[in-house]
Amino acid sequence: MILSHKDYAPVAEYTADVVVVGTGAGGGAVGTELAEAGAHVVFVEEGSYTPTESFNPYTSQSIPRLYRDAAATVIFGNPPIPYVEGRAVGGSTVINGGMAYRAPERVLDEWAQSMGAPELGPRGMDSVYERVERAVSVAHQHPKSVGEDSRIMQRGAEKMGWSYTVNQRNQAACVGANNCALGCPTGAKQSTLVSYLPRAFRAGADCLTDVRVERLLIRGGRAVGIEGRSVDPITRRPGHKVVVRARAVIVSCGAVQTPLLLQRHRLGRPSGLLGKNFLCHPNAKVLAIYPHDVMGWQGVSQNTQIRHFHEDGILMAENFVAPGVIAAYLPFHGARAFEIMQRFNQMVLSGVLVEDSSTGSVRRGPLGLPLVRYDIQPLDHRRFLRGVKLLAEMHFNMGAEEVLLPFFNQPSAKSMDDLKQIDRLQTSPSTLELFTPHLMGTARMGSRPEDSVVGLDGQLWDLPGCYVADASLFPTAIGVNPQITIMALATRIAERMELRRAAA
Amino acid sequence: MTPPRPFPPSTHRSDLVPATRLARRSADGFQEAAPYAMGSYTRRVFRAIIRCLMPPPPAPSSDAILDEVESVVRNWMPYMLPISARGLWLSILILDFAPLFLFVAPSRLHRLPQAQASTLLSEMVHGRFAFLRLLVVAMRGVVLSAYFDQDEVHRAIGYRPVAFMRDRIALRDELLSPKPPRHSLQPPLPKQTGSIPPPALGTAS
Repeated sequence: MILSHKDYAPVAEYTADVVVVGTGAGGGAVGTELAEAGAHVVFVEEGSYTPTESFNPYTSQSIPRLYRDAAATVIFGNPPIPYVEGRAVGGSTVINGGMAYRAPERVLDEWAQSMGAPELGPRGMDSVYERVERAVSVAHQHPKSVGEDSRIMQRGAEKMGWSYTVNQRNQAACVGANNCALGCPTGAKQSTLVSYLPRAFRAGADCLTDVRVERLLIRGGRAVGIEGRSVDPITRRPGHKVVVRARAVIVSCGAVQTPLLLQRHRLGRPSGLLGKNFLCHPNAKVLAIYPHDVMGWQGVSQNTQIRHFHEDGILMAENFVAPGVIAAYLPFHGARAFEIMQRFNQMVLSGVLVEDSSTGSVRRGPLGLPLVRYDIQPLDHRRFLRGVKLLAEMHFNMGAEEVLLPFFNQPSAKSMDDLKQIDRLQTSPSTLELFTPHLMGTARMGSRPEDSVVGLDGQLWDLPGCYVADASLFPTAIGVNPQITIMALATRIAERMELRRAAA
Repeated sequence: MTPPRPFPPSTHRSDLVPATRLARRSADGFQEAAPYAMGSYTRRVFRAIIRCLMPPPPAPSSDAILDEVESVVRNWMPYMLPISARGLWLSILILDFAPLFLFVAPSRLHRLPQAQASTLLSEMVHGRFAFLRLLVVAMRGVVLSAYFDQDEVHRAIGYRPVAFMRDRIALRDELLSPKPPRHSLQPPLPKQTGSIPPPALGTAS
């Protein structure tokens, strides 16, 4: 059953075996596994329920409905980095590009070694990944569903002599509507909204939507539930009190909201690492304008990743989105903005993703608001400059007439000669224009309380009964899209909880 | 230069897709928040800023679009963190007074001719005050995002998503129906069967 604001009494109380805060990649997976194992699961979701039939190509309604804080969220630092998270039933899986990568073997090896946990290595994780990939139908796109922008990226990589991979995506019969960022209107993208959660509901799980969890209920040193407030849909102010009592609480709110909730109770004390180790895979956009129609909005974007420079921490990919989203990042306004957008059908929107070499932090700021800090380090700055130059060069080699660059003091290049100015003009990270959808690492897991926030079973070292199952768990950046790894770790946590429940 | 490859033609019935699908306002009972409250002065200044940021004619620039952009941004603001929404509200006022405290014009922004005000905002983006740059970039982002989401503007830039997506919905429905599809685009088969051709890899993979 899915409840919303209008269904809650002035004080609404529910009981469950397990309450899961969040319905995205982590919450959706862990809750579904537990529900199917026989537990009564109640999901609590701050966003609302949006069925597939309601998704549309308009940012006006989709942004406030599907994105946390209407996508007006920023990481403070040098430079400030806007970030996006989903806030809807299905979480960020509703708005992501649907790329389905396992963490690279070198990353899993490092995790296994640093934690002394061989089960986290590539071999140990293999069966869990397989289970997740089956659950969300990971497969390659049918070639005819692929957009021309992806083909240009492939041909460009071939021309430059670079290696690339064709993405696996969590999709079932995807026909390339290419509205991933505003919700898949065909239902092909296997977000948790259409993959995991329906299974959980069939197994008897319930979902309380429009509820913002404000604190955990703790009794006798153990988490026994959550307390929150419904969000009034008209005023957006806190409404009814909602309480869920449960034997276990799973926090899956993402790498910003999870530490924020736990910090309220001053948890994570053994290591002091809660909210630290914030990782974000910063991205820089490179928008190329070609002399011919590309029609990037027709057919799947994000079908290719250029991985030639992956060992150097650089990935390149295309990601075509609606004009309302592209326009938000334009470096111009007025007539020049329209001049560029008139060539919307000739654009290829691509980007450079850099694997973090440093970390930031999340802490509770004034009024309990999230204060996220992260600075671009010189190494990552050099990676961005290199990646942007290479990607822009590739576009010019493919015939692009103009390339918009992610530098506020050098917003566009019309030739290779203009790219030569990058090194001279870009001397500080402060001129970079970045964004990110990948937030990780703020409640890292580990095998020892002194260097992690949760144990290998996902349970907080200093609060029995409280688990974390989202990207906060990552000890290091993984360098690829994280959703499948989040689901895999969440599945592992569910298995361990189930074993413990069976033993009890 | 390689010419674009046409997207596969459709043979399916997109007219079977219900008219409610892809509507700008979904009919599922979702209630939008009330627009963010603004006094008459703030609204006047905000509309002046929107006019400066919106493309001038020949781009679509009617009063109806201006109204819609204002309405969309004010509808977004209640969904933001209260401090962000208040910050956006405050930035309207700061930008209005910017010409005075930057000593670049003798009057407030909303009283300047539109072209001059627009140029001034451009200069702020490249100016030496990072704080003002952030304000303009944030304001520009929300205003242009709302502007380029309008149907009339979509038509002007050649973006016709609804017809295309209705077509895709019908195609997928047909692919998943028990009857054999008439279209050549088959649904991807499960990966384990090995029926999908292996991905094309680049030169050095």
